Amino acid sequence: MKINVNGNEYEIKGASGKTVLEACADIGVNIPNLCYSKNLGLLSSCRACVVEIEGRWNLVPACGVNIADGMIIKTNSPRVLDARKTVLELLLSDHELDCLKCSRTSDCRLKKASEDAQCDAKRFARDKEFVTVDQKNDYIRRNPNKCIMCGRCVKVCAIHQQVDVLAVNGRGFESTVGVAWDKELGSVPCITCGQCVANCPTAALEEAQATNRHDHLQLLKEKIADDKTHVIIATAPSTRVAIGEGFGMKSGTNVQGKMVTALKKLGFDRIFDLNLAADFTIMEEGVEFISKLDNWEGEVKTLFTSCCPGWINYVTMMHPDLIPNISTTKSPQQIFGALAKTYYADKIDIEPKNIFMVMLMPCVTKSSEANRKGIDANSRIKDVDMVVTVREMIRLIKESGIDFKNLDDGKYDDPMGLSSGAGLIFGTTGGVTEAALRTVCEHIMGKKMENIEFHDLRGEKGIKVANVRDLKDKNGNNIRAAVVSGITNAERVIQDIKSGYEHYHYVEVMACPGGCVNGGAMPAHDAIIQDNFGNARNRSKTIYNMDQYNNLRRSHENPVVKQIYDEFLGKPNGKKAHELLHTTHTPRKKYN
Amino acid sequence: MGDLTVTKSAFKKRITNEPSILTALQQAQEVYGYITPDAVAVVADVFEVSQSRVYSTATFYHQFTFAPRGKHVISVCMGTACYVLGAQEILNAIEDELGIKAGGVTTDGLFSIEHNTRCVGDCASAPIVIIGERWFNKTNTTKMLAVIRKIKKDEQEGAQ
Repeated sequence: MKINVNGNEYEIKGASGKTVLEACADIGVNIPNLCYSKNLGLLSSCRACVVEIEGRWNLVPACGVNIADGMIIKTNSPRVLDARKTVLELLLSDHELDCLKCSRTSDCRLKKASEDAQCDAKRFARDKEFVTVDQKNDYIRRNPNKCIMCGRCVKVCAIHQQVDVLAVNGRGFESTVGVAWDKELGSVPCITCGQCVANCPTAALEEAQATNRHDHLQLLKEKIADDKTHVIIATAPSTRVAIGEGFGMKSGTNVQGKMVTALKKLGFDRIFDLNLAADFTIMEEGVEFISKLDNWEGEVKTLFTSCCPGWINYVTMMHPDLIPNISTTKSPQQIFGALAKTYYADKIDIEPKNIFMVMLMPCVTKSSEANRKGIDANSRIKDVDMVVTVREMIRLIKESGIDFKNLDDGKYDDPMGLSSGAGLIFGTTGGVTEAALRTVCEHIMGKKMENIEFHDLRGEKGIKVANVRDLKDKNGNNIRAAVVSGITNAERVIQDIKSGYEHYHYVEVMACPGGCVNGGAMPAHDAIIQDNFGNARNRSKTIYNMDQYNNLRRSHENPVVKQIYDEFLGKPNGKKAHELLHTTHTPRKKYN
Repeated sequence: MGDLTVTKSAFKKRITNEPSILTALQQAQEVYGYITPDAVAVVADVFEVSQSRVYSTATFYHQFTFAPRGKHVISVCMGTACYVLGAQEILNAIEDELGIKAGGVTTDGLFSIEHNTRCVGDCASAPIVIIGERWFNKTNTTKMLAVIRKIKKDEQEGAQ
């Protein structure tokens, strides 16, 4: 199909159903867009992408029109540029312009588009009282004064996550994005997955710490500066393939070494790898799976994973009857915290209360997990003191003047820095199941596997199923494992299981579509078209590559795991392991 | 004025066969006099959607209110025909008479003035004011103030 853009002819391949916006992006013609996202479908609400198409009297949004053969498009005519500028200036007219201290200052789509269009931010400015929303207990902070009403958050909440707690309240100029009765997110069944944050083009939605203390990063800096506090950090699997994006690197670049060096330069006393705790999760969950496999009492005979806090929030609210089927094994984050405050504290002879445990996470709701009642092994000591998101860490690194791109590669510290490829692939959807199957088949059931890669479980499909021939239940049926990402897909699988239409022995659920690589607090990407799935795809590809070239690919072969079990924990699912590495789940109210 | 003693289950029964969220919300407005949190919860339950969705739908329409209204609800039509024939002056006079603004309720709960009444569809008889179920066609400030004072007087006598 041939189209003419700004006087040049282009041949567009695979053109059927492509919009003008997408086709122009393919040929390197940048049309600013704020509301469009490849994963969410059409919104056409911001109007920043208006273009001229010959034969049409009006300007049309490039995101909402499909290309046709022979179409003549103008994206930079005086009429288009003028209209675009006006559209952006109108969006800026009631926008809170505190760009310098705004968390999204370096990747705000509105700022970028307005800069390019050389907007006069004050052209239509008027006296407006800025709205404040009481939300001191929320893990997601809404700022209506920075909202451009694009509707992406509403759509992702309704379609991908189907919890549908965000909606447009009111009408016309007074409308805002909010929840029922304009209360806190905590009053409605929000699972704090953070997909709304990931899809926000501005800083209208941000991760928060649910405390009155506004700036927890200030507290972190004080802790690091304090000699008496031993500040340690563990980095989640998916962070190493994403944090570079905050410094202009391509999505999916492996920056593990640079990240470790940057964290050392920031002043953390020890930098550990959370993948190690993922290896522990596999050991514990693997043994738990085999011990429960043929011994279910209830109707549902499925074990659901428990490492995703968004999923746990969902299931404990919407399906409390499934609580007996959720693995009691803690998530890697909480396992690491528990081991740091016991095993590691003993080892280096420091009082647990003098250890400040920080987690680097791609996730908005991991901080809610750290605060969950009953999650700590010892109620007097918090296992995880603070969760810092990738977005926040990028800001800290920039603030410290660290030249991230040109750093040397550093190495994780002993004794909790060695991990397997199985722990690493936790960062993407399907990884937990694949890692678990490697250990369950080989270590627990004692079967040697030639191929430990489960390609059925890879890729970005929302529901993936594997039949494991090496492993059978008591009836001689192959073990069926399902991998689900996105809550809408999870709900479908739950309905299939409850209705008896499908039986799975093991179900992995990640709340974010694509898993942690598409986490809510991942860097917002500077791209012509927002494509969260594309970034997630690049990141998970790197993760699988890193696993492939890792000599250590099975959790049970990790010498540190063996050592800590021998020296400290005893057996997987043993008494001590149960005290430290397992938890219980309690039902939650939907509406408060 | 609505009846807040209607139970959730009675209300649920009443809206079970409603074809849409909108008509169910209209029932809520009629039964309770305004959209209550419980009504939103029941509508969400019956239509299997989130409460945020129901609330969002309700806030879009001016016909719904979220706080109790007065016993006598006054709507001054602000459609074009009524407006050019002096609806704004009538509204201002009523506001002054009752000491409240449009959207508010008098402290004794007797009167409330609707916020933003759009064209009620009888432009030939403009300007129009509606109090409760009674329509006042081709009205003016003097007539309306007399009507309101009459209602006030009747209410006072009724109370004694």
